[in-house]
Amino acid sequence: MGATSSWAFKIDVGNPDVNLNWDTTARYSAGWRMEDVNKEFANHYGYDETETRFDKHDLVTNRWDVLTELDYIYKYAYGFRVSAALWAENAYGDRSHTGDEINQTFGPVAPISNYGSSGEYSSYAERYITGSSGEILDAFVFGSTHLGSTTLSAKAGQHTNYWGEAIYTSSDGIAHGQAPLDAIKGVSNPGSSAKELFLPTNQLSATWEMTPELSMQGYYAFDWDPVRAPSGGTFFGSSDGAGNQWGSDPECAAVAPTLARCAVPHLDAITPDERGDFGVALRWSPEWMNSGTAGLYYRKYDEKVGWAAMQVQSLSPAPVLGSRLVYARDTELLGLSYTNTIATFSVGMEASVRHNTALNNVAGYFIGSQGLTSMLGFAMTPGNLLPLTATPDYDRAEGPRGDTFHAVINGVKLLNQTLFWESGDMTIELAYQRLLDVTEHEDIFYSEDYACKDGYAFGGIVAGARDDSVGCSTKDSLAGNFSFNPKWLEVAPSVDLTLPISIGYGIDGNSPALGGSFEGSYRWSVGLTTTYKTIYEVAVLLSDQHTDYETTTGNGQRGLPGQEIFDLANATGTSGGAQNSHRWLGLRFKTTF
Amino acid sequence: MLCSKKTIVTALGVLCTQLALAAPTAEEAAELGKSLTPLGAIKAGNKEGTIPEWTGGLCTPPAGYAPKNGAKGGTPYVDAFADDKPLLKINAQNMAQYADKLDEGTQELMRRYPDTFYVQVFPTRRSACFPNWVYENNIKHVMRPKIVGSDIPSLDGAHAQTPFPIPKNGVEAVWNGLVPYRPLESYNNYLNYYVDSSGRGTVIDDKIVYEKNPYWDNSVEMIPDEKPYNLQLSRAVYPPAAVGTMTLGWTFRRPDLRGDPVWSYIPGQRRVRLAPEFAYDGVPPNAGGTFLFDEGGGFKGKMNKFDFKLLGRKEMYIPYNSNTEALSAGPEVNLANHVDPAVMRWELHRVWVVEATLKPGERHVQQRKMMYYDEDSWKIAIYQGIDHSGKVHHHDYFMLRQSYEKPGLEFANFITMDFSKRAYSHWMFTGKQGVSEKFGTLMEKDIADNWFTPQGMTAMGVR
Repeated sequence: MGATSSWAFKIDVGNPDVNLNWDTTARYSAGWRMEDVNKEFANHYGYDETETRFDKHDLVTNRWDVLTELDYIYKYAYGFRVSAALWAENAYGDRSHTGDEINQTFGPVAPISNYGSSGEYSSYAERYITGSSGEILDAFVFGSTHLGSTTLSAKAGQHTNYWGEAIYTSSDGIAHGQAPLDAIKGVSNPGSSAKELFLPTNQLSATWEMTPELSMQGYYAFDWDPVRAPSGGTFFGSSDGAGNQWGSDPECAAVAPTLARCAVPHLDAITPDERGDFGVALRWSPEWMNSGTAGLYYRKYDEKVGWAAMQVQSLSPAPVLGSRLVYARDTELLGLSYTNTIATFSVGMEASVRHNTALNNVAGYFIGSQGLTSMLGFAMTPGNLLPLTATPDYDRAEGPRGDTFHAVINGVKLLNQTLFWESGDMTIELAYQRLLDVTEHEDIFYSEDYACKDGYAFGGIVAGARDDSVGCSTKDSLAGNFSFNPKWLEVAPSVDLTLPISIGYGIDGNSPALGGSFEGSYRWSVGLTTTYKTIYEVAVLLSDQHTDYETTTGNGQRGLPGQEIFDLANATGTSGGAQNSHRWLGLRFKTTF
Repeated sequence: MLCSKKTIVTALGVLCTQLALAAPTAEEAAELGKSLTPLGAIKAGNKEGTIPEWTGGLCTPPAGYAPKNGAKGGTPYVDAFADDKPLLKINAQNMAQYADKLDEGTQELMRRYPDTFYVQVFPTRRSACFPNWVYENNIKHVMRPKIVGSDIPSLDGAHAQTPFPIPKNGVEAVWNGLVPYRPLESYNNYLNYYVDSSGRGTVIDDKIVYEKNPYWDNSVEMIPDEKPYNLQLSRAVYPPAAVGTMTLGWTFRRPDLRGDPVWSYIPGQRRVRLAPEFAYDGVPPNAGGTFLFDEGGGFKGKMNKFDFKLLGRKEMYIPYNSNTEALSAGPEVNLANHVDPAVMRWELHRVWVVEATLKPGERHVQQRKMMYYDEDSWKIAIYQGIDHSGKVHHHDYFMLRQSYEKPGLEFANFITMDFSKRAYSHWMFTGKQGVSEKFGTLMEKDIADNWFTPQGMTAMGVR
């Protein structure tokens, strides 16, 4: 790499009005599990494949990633952008691994999970986690024009927009559900901010600068995609049954108390119309705000995180069930934001109210059971018992909804030189939410004031009264994220060092809205990043997460008889403690050219 | 009023009074355009004849200048003084003899690298030339500018002029250096060619900086306090991972009333966010660490942590008319430890010397800063930061040259050196001219106003 290298990327087409950039980032990552297999999950057949896929010190990821980006910009006013990602993962074979003891006790057909008839990974797991594949990310055209003294700029095609000021939180921000999140990337790259995880979708978006102080933004989406979650049976899975948010691809779910493979198939998700998400925003920076900017936002959208529900074909003699994800439609959000420099911090604040947002549901509530008080009533209501091949209406399948208030405050600061470090930055963010009202299906709202209060008898689990210690939503919740990245420059010729530390913590309460935080859950990572000549990077990162869980004695139904196993009936959140023993050490080499 | 009632009753009332007395007398002011140039330089040469009289400077291109872009100017430039021969070579052996004309950093370089570093002195060419209206404004409005703000010295009543051609204190001199003549619109390539402590060099960072200077808009009477006098939009070009990143900075005449905001456009997020404070002795995290935030362009930011003392006007050797270095040097000139002295042209010029000393009770990694301003242009030529052990740890050269096609004196490149890290950055170093279209420090470009607002940056973002 010589002096001329930088000129090579900005391709000189001999016309000063044309800017053509083509950059490619290549990354190799390896990761090793640093904790022993946790028997309490290994002996539960709904978790054994996720828990036992790798032993301590096994290579859990061995992966190449290539990201290539091409921008064509004419006179800084028109152009297009295309970016694509390619990857190849070599740590997995094509089959999942059944826990040895589960296998011995129940035989090879016993495990119920997310895979094909002889344990092959689903095509979803293969596509995004265990195999080699690729995808187009951004693909859009853009242009801008002057209208009198105003300027109108627009983008059309596959791209992302991320509004508001939140940095880490996707569940409490003004950008809630503005784009599907790539949660696979999130868990395998600890400390990533929400923006790195947004998946581009087809939309038309525009900014109209009416005056230098006031602008209006808007978007209309032509596409809808759900979050992309890690698959069951892979290292970062939340359970063996976790998988494709579209529903149909993984053949089996893991939650039913039965020993037959594929007893509870994943059925197609009940998804909203592809088009129709939209939003408008005003951004205002009057002189008297002293460089500060205020924002006002209205959005109407279909949510990207679904409720997990059960469809019932029959209840006796043995239940015949299928699982379905259901996505809330037409959630409305009204938000306000403000950002300015306060002391030496760049401070961002957001407050938003969501109307009819998806609330935390009773896991596996029966479709059609909403508002009913008995199993008998459920079975006798026409339309509740449906062949698994039939698809219920959205209205029948809908989960709990309500009105919520959300507030986010964050601060970013550059680190001043001290004896201990030379430079760097830190970020702190707090996210608060409060339930204002339950508007739909309060009986399946998994909250200490609703379904949890007197217990409930519907869904995959029959349960008595319970409280927030097992994940029931509280009226409000507070969560925090903190990252601290001290930096040392030129520690060796052309070598810079960074020590990234990040912590996410559920400080108080369990979020009433779906996909929020849980009290006492935390994740952390500590690393060391070495950069050479700003373009070569070698990083090591140790990371872990923790959620409290309870155990129960296996009865042959959910796990090994007589063994202490994870108690799914009293699990916190969607993953419980399934990732507690998955501390891992990652090594990454990255270069851009 | 020079000082508000409020500031007079503060403990800094004394300073306020001093500043109040700082305006030039009518007699002094009357010399502008006579014995003094309109920028306040001594028009006459020195007794020894080693500094000639200023006779108006180099206001028109030399023969043979045929820019590719025609009337817009720019590359390829020709060296107007190509036939000049060096008069003198100063190195570690004979430096003592010239010590009074050499700054601390240059002397330190000679001591550190006696075999490779030297200073080649050429005949002094007082080539600084500016548009006539600059001269007229300087003379007409000489009594108008005032320093205001007790804790944070700020500039009031100045527009499209050298605020203090007859400076009475360090603060006034530094303000002259903060608002030297610049074209109304310009763009520059801030390429960072970094030579590390092992002596190996490479480009580590490259930005295109678009700049608007309403301060030098002669069609406007005065920029209001709440409007920025300088706006800079920078687009990252290299490293590839940074491409798409943009930052926008606004600078105000009244830092006592409002901080200078910097906004960042964050690729991926497609949002613009006000950046945390970039100030004082913070180290920019991605530039190799050879300069601090308050060392941008020699000195940048608020003047509240240091006492700025004007040591006076002195004859010194500074890099000047740096045509060879700017126009025809390739990457091979970036030697280990310093730039090849063979391509540096030094001249004897009168410079204004300002010494900044850390105020008691203030914290900063530097105890002292030294600034050397060219008397003909008020452009900074040399800067040093001295740490608490009394050693020069940062040392910068600004390679001044006259842009004759639309008169103005600019730095073509600059060098920021860190003596403790033994590394340096050669900025705006574009290799031999013509390699890149980006060369041309005064090339104007039609820049839309909306580029320079945070909203405009949001709309412009592609990545």
